[in-house]
Amino acid sequence: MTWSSSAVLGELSKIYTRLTGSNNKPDARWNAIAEHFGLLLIFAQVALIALVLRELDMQTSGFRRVVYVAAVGFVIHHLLPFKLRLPFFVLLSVGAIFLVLGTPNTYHSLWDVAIGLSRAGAILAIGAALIGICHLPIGFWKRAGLLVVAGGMVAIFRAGIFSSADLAIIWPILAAIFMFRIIIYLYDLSASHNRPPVTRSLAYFFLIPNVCCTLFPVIDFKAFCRSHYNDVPLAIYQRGVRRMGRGVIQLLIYRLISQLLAIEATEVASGTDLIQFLITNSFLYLKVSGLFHLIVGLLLLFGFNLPETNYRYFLASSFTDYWRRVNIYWKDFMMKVFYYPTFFKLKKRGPTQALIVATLWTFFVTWALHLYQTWWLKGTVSVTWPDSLFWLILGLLVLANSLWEMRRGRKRRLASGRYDAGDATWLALRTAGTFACICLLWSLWNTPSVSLWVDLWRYADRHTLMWGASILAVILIATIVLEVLPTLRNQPSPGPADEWSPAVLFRKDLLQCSLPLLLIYMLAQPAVQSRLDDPRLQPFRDTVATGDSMMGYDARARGYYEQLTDMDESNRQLWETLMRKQMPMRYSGPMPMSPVKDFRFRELLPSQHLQAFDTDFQTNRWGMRDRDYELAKPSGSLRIALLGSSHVMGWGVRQEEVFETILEERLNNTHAASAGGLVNRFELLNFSVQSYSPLSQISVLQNRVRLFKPDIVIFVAHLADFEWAAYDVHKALRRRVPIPYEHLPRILHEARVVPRTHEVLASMRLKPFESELVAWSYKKIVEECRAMGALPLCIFLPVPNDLPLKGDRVDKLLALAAQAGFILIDLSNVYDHQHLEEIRLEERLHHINPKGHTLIADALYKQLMTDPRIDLVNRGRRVSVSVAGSSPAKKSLSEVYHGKHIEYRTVHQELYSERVPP
Amino acid sequence: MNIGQSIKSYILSEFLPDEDPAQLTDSTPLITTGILDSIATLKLVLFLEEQFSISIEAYEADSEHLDTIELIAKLVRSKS
Repeated sequence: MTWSSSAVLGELSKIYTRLTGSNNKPDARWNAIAEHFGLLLIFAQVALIALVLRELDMQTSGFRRVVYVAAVGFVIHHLLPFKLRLPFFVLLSVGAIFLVLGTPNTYHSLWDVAIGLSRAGAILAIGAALIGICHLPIGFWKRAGLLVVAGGMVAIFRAGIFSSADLAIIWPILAAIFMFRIIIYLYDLSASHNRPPVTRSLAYFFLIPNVCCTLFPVIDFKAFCRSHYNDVPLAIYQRGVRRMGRGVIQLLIYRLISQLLAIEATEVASGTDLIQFLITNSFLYLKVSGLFHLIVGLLLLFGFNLPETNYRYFLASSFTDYWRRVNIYWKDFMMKVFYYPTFFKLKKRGPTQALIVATLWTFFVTWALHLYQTWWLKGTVSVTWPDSLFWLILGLLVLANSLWEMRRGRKRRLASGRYDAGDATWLALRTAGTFACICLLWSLWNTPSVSLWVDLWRYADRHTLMWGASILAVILIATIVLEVLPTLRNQPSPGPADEWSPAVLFRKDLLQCSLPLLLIYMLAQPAVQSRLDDPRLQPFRDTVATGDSMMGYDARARGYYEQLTDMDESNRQLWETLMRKQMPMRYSGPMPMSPVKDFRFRELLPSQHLQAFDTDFQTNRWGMRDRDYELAKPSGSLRIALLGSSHVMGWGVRQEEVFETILEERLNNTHAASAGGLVNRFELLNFSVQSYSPLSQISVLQNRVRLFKPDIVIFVAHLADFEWAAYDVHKALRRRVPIPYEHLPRILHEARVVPRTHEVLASMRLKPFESELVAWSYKKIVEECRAMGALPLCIFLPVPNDLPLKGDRVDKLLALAAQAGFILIDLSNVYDHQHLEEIRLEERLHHINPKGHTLIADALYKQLMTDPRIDLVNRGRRVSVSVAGSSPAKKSLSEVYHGKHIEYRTVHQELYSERVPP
Repeated sequence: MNIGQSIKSYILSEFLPDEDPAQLTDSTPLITTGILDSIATLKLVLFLEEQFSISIEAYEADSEHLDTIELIAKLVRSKS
């Protein structure tokens, strides 16, 4: 009996009866119409899911394209004769690989045949070889050994040796397809004497969503084979829709929690923060469970009636129950390949010993395979104490639980069973207790170090207890409502959802999935959003607006699964292909810096010498990337302070190649001599640090520059000052850095930017205020310069990213600098007659190369010498005259401080405020 | 007592002591409904091996062979 006969056919029968005036049952024609109608309803629901994914920018562009293909493909698939369905599915999956991976890096065209063929061809060829090894007519261990050798060869390519740039992205995808499923496949082949059909083997590995999901459920091969059309087709499809809908809703909840509530360990500063950190981290697993529901739901559309990937893991009543619920596919994989074989081998020694060894072995393998997965997907792996302890503790808890269950048993219930009041209470308490322990474990797993996690507990106070108790009460209530109440009402438990009749399924799915998704889709429409313009709803609107394509900009450190799937240099190319956009570069090398609580956010550590910022990097005792200077200005010297960002700091070039060094040397070699020998020295002090914005320079002037009493301050401006100023003002808000100026909080308030607003959203909202922020920053810099008696100079310096220059933005910046009171030096033409490649470091490093720095030094020297507003020559003479005049000779540092019995350390302390000098 | 009844009796007494025996039929799913979790499966296997003097392989401890009383009995008969 088909799906249609239970619901739709009933209604159609009534229509048929009324129309024909007869009581005859509908014929096969009506069955076909009803079936097509059911298929159309399912297609409409899948289309709604695809619309929601697109509207809310969920998942990658590549994944959404796969959903669009699957939405149409499953209809064609259903209409095909049964024996053609599996081959069609394989073709569709292979086609998806061509489609997704054929996206070129240049993004100028939608698809590139050559790139698609090479990448997909490589995956198919290597995949076929691996599957072929499993079918060799040799013993199991020999085949396993060959697979290890083949895997080792692929690993060499994964490690970046002998790999071409175009093919680099296939390794994580190949790993996602084969790294676990090949183990299960080989195990099942060795246990079974039947050779599976080729199409079934290909379908098992080349699953349509796998090309764009490196994190993928470990589908069991036997379950995959058994599940193919083992129920009414439309019922299977409807279950697929339900899973996909549930996945979308869970991913949205994950987004809400991640954006609004989840905090990092380093952000904990109170008892309330502590409980927020403890609770929200465990909910971040919704990212995995939601994605897995989406993936498996998609597969159900093609007739693979696969089981649930997880089931209400927040309501686990014991650690073994948690292990069984949280990732059912992983649990089944571990049980089948590691747990049962170990137990069965050792059961002769006694069930208890066998259980202990099998359980500990299983958790050891789980820990090891998580590292293995990390290596394949990210290209690197690090063993950390929090990760190791997490699996060790969870393993021991599950073992203790298992031994208890082995000895004392566990109460089980048939589907029609009921809880009595005592059992219900005990169940609720156990569930709350398990939830609390799991939250603690997850918080440990998501903390960078054990010592940091232990240190967090000093913030525990009555708020922690109060909020913790409230949340556990919610878990208690949820257990009663969801697990117990249905039985106490004397109604038979509904049983697993997979057993519901299709008509019931459709009605429930409409209420639980389709209608909520339709509501979400409507709420995301701009016309509706504009009517919800209430500041109290702003955080929710921000969350809806924070799409997954912004993930590359999220610098927050998160747990295992976020780190596995977030973009970094190891998977940049894959991300750019899936997202179809260029992702920002992120430096991942050493950062010899320490945090400060002002607009600098970080400052360079003093007396460092290491490889950092892509060059040999050294800092002097004052934490400048420059040669050493005395704090007090030597007599007869003209001191110039240079404020800039990474370009002026000299990212990627040696210190002697930075334009500041070249300029200082040239001034001392040529100009000092020409000042009649009265100016014996020019000092250029480079206070530049990477990522410093105009707002940062205000803090630099207040905290550092003033102590050195410069005669001239040169501030180097770039076009990026607009974005950087906006970025830093939001960063200060996010990191709770004090903002001592009234002007800035007013701008943030007007722009509706709050601490939790995503960086990309914040930059969009602050865009109309960029000019105001820059104008204000420039004025403050000029004020600070004048307050310390220094001449404020502004150099406009274009950087490689700015070229070719856009005239209107340059004019705006120059106008703001002039209005602020700077003496302006415009170096817009400093790279004239040069190609971009001639003045830029390699393409991925958007910084100036040594030749570029030389050109800047030349241009700046010329300007300083000839610009009458700066009048460097006579300024030099004025300095030397004042020295030669009646002013007393300046004492040396030791003379100044020796007389006051102040040790040299105190000088450092004055410079570095609360910090203890190295 | 035949094989099926012996198995049913064991399952009822060991895992479902408070349940109505009539609710447990030869086709009631055991693994897929969670009645037989990993510990229960191992206990069942140990019982079957001892009761019927058979040896069960690790790969046979799955839903394909142990999901219903009917399937379990079939497995035992195939080994006896």
